[in-house]
Amino acid sequence: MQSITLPLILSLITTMISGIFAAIVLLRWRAAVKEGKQRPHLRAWGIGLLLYCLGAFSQVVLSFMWSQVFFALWYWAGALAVAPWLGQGTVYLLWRRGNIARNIEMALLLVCVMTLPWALFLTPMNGAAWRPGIDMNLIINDVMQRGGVRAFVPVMNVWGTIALVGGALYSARLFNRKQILRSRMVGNWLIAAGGLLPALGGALIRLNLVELNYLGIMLGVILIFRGYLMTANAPDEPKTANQQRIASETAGD
Amino acid sequence: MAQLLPLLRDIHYWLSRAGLVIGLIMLGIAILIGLIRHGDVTVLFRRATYAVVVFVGIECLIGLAMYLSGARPGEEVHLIYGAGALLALPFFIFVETTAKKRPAMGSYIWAFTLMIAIFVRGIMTGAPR
Repeated sequence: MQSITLPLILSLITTMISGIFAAIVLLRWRAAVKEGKQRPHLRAWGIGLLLYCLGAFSQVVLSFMWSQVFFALWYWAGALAVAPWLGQGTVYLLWRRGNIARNIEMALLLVCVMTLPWALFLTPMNGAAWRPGIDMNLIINDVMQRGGVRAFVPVMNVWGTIALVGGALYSARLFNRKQILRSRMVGNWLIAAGGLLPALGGALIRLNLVELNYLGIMLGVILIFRGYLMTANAPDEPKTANQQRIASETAGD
Repeated sequence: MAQLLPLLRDIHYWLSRAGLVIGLIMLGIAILIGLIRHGDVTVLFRRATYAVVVFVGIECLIGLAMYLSGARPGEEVHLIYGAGALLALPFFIFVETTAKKRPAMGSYIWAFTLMIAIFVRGIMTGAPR
C-alpha cells in the first residue's frame, strides 16, 4: 500500500480518461469512414490519445515495478509521439492546401516507426536508478543517456505543441473575430490550455513541483476532452454562407 | 558467406554513396518540376523513383547479408536508419499515388529530403569505430 501515491492515482485517472477519449474519437472516425467521409484529423487525434493513454498506463506500471519495455514505451509515447500526433489532427483541419498535411503525417509516421524499435531495443537503460513510486522524470537522466533517440524529443514536442496549441488559438480567434459559434471558441480555448499544461511539465519538475506535473498531464487531457466535446457538439449553427465555411474549416467533428 | 564479406562491404560502401548522389539528383529534379515549373509528377519521374526504391532495397539486402555473416556496423542504430531509408520512399509514393489534389510533386520533395537525411545518418553510423 506504500506505493499508492498521489502521482499513481493521477496517472490512473489520466489512463482511464485518455482511453475513453481515444475510443470516442476513433469510433467517430470509423463511423465517418463507413459513411464515405474522410476525417483524417479524427484518426490523428485518436492515435495521439491512444499514445497519451499508453504513456499514462506505462507510468502506472512503472510506479510498481521496473520494466525496460514500459520505460521505453513511457518515453516514446509520452515524451516523443503524443504531442505531434495530437498536433497532426489540427494540421489536418487547418492546413488544407495541397497534400501538405498528408506529407507531414507520413514524415511523422516514419519518425515514429524508426524511433519505437530504437527506444525499445537499442537504448541502453540503467534500471538501478528506479525505486517504487519514484517520478520517472526525476530519474530520466540516470536511466537513459542523452543523445540517441532523445534527440528527437525537442523537435517533435515543439512542433506538436505549436500545431495543437497554435491551431486551437487560431481557431478560437477566428470564431471570436467573426462573433460566431461561441461554444467552439470556448472549446478551442480549452484545447489550447489542455495542450499547454503537459508541455509545462518540464518547468514544474525544475521547480520541484513534481506532483503538479502529474496533475498537469491529467488536467491537460480533461481540458482537451471538454474542449473537443464543445467543438464537436456545438449547438449554435452559423447563419451565413461565409460563417458556415469558417465553421467547417475549423470543426472538430 | 564470410569469404564474400570484404566484397559485400565494398559494394555496400559504394552503393550508399551512389544512393546519396542519386537522392540529391532526384531531389533537384523534384524541386525543378514541382517548385519552379509548378508541374505534376511525370510517368518517367515516378518510374525513376520506383527504381530508387529497388536500389535502396538491394543496398539493405546487402547490409542484411553482411549482418548475417557476422559483420556489425559502427553503431547498432545503423540498422534503424537502414529500415528508415527503405521505408521513406514507399510512404510518400503512397501519398502521391492516392492524392486527389494535384500537382503532388511535394510528396517526392519530402521523400527525397528525408531519404537523403537518413542516408547521411546511415553513412555516419555505418563505419566500424
